[in-house]
Amino acid sequence: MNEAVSPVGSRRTFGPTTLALIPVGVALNLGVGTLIQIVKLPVFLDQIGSVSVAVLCGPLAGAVTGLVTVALGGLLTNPVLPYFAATAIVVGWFSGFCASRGSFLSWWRWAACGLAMGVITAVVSAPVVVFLFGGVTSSGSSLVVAFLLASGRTVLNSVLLAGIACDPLDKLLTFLIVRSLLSGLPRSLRAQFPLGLANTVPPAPAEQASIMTSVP
Amino acid sequence: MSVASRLDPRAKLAAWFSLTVTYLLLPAGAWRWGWLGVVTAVAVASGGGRSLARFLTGVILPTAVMLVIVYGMLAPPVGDLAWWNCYGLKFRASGVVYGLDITARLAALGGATVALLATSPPLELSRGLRAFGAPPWAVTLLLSSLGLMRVIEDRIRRISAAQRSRGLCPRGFIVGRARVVIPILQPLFFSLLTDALERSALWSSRPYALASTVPAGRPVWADLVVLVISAAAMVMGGGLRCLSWID
Repeated sequence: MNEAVSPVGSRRTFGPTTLALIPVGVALNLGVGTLIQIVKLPVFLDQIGSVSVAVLCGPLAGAVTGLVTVALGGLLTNPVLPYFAATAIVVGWFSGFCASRGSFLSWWRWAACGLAMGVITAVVSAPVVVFLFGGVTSSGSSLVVAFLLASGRTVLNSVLLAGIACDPLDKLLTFLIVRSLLSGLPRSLRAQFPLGLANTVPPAPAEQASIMTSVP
Repeated sequence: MSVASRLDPRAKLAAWFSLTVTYLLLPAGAWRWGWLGVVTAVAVASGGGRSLARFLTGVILPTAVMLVIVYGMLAPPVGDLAWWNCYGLKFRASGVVYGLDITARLAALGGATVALLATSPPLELSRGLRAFGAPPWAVTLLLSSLGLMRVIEDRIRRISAAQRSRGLCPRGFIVGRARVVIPILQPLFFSLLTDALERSALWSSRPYALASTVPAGRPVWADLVVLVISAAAMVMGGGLRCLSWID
């Protein structure tokens, strides 16, 4: 089941392993909300599946996972979710891009990517919130937006600042949880996915590689 | 089965697109409130009354209360026609109207989707998407994900019950509670990945390309009527918006 997939921006169609993993990512994105209610965390953690798929199968697969998540979420839970498709695609693509650059291998670089992801999602979703929904959605960050509006800021600035204040923590936790989950998987299991080892295992040192090749 | 349920999925997708885009094109005020009434009537006539009621009471009503209170209190005291003094809190008319306008927008966009979903099972929607050029693998993903939803919720409940019986308890602030997530997600993740690998082995062993699922046949007169009305609505919305800019 080896699939030749280039790490970033692959234009090939997905192989069976990736096609089988994407629905798992989608179901994780949508189903982890049940877990959040049990644990009572003040965050969403609704992109765990997209980030996991992006690390194991590449940024394109992660982006598709995000897209299918919002499409299905619009069908099942919240009809306004599909309007945030761009945000979901960006989350999947950016996390796969960061993983392909080796950020997954050190926890602090991966955490920095999570914080950066939070800022990027705030920037990407702000225009949608402003132009489609007038600056508010049904989440608690709308209160932050309202207070910022009262201080004299424009709607777009208020939404942007509220998003930058709220999103990075959620994405940081998402990235750290995904790293913990994937690091805990056996290497043999990760090897079955196109980029499972390439993104999660550091490359062998040059000396060790030359010793291994010199052995008859 | 209602007339709307028997329409071609392509016509229903076009109508959904028209309902949402027309609302956004129409100028703010009476036109938008009137279009909200149209969307609600379409959603109810399509058989989505119960889903619409759940959406309105579960999402729209709490949002409306929050927005009206917040914007009513925080509206700038400039150019207002009236204000109320309720237990020492001042609510300005402009803020209340703005909050209601935003709520109406949310209701209209969600109501159009409710109307679509009430008349179209997922398989039919996937056929409509295929007709508009969505690739077969995308449709496969949508349908596979639907099936996995119930599986994952059931497994989360079972694993969290098992871990709680072993002494796992969410306590403390955010970090402490986030740590509880890992012992539940790890076995869930492992089981889902192994299931995915088994499924991919099954798909590899036989051709998994979807047969053509594009709706067969030409649209009937009801579908053409829906398409004409959808196009006319968008043209009307665009025209009214242009007129409002000129004025």
